[in-house]
Amino acid sequence: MTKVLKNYVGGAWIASDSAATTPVVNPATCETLAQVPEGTRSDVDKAVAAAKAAFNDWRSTPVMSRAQYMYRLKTLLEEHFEEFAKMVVEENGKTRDEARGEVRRGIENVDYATHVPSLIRGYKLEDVSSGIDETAERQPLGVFAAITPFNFPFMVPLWFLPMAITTGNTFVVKPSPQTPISMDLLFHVLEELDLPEGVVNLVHGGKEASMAVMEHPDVRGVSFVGSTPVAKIVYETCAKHGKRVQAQGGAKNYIAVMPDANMAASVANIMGSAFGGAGQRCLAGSVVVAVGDAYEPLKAELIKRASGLRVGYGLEETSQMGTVISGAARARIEKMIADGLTEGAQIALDGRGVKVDGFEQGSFVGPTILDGVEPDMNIAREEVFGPVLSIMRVPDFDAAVEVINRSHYGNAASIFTSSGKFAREFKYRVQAGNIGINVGVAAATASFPFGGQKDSFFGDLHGQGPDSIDFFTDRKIVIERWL
Amino acid sequence: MNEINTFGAVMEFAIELERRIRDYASNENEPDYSSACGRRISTLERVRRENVVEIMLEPIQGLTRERYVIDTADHSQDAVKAAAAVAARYYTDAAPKINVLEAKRALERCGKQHSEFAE
Repeated sequence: MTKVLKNYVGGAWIASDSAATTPVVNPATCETLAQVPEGTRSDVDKAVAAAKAAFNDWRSTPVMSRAQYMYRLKTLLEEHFEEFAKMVVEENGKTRDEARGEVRRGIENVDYATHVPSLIRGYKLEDVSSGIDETAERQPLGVFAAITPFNFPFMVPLWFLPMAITTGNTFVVKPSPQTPISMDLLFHVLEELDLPEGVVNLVHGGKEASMAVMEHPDVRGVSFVGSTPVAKIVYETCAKHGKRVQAQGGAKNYIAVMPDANMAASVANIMGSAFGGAGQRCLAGSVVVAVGDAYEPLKAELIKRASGLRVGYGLEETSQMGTVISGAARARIEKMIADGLTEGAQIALDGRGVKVDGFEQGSFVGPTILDGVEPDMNIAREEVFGPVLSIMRVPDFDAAVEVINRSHYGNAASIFTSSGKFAREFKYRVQAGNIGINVGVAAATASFPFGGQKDSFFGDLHGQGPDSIDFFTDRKIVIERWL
Repeated sequence: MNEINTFGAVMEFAIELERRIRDYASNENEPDYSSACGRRISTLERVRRENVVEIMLEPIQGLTRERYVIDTADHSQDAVKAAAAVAARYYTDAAPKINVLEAKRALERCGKQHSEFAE
């Protein structure tokens, strides 16, 4: 009998009101790791009520004291580092290095939250009129919540939780039902902090729980990361219910490679971008735009390097690419590859049907490269969310920028070049929120907002960095005169 | 697997080498050198934890385990020095393949310490 995960509400582990559960499956071994409850509206109600009850005491806890919890959290996360990385591998399927990278990025956000006392300060102007001073003070708002995805089950909740609570809010996390165990582990660590009851809460579940979060009158803001169609729903629903919202959606990230690029170094980096996390990242490079003479050497090097990648179980240190999240995801990705071929693309490297010794039932898709991809093909326009790299050929730099800017997504784009002129033009003209210059995964670090434009982001304030201070606080203006 | 083809595999093999040499040196009555191996294990674990950055993870080529075998059955006078030389060679080969500066520096430092002992 596998463990049934519990919710963490008001400082206690409690069973969901729902008896229905979904198995959490290791996508490489097919082992059932746990059962996750199909959480209900009443589960969310309890969590939000606990968070609301905790808010007033927590917001009046000195900010320096709130920050001290983050120092202690960092220490505990460092101690449990390998345990978290292993769990991320087991429930998500990525490689151990990728999981360690994810845990590191999560901890960076805890590091950043220790700086809240200096980041949350307001500002003041004396004598805005005779004897009158004006002040902007930042205040927390109340209960915030995050609905988070399967691809970064540890990191993405930590984009939000540390900053939300250190700025004085209370918090509810609703993780992906496909990868909920990392959060279960995190909340066991959070329990060791002895935070006041109700400051942090965990609710498991799927659509019903998510809708309950978005519609709850006591939730002041929601952070979401997931697909574009769902991000739109989250944005609209939260807006309708008067909430702040930051909803990060899907992506189709282009990588332009100029003829003057250092081809060997560029391709090594593009490998990580396209096939890291088995392509299940919103920053994954998905279309390589080969400019002019870059095409032939780029294509040859990509095929050579990608065909040498070792696909395997993430817990084996020598695996360079792990699984996708599930058999259903594998089937969807393989169908998109087949549809791409029907549209006229040619297969240069076929990762369909790959088998890994000892893990024959695992959800593996090998690195796949499609050549001859044209801008109007579905495979060039829509998110695959798998290890599939399309190669597109354009005559010059301007054509590359035009192709990239035609995308309805705008999450990330990269250029590989040795020309400062092209690099500058690229970052200036390309409509994407994260730009890589000779970097294939342009991932914002914790002190910078994670960008995103067009259909890749719905909202005004991004996750991470100074945006998170603005998202989790309101500026109250005080105008004072002492008579 | 014989390949050492990822950042994690490079660091894991370094830790494994240090563990093996630590135990070997301890058995061969080289307590100071054995203790130094223990300290290096802690350093390598910390460096791995702090410096694995996903945006820099690129496949690594050209390293295989069989090139760095420690003969723990050798009890001759210079046997531990020979093991240190093997470790030094591994670090010399591995460090240039790591594109994360702190990790590269740590590997170079470990290599230097083994080299000094081996001389």
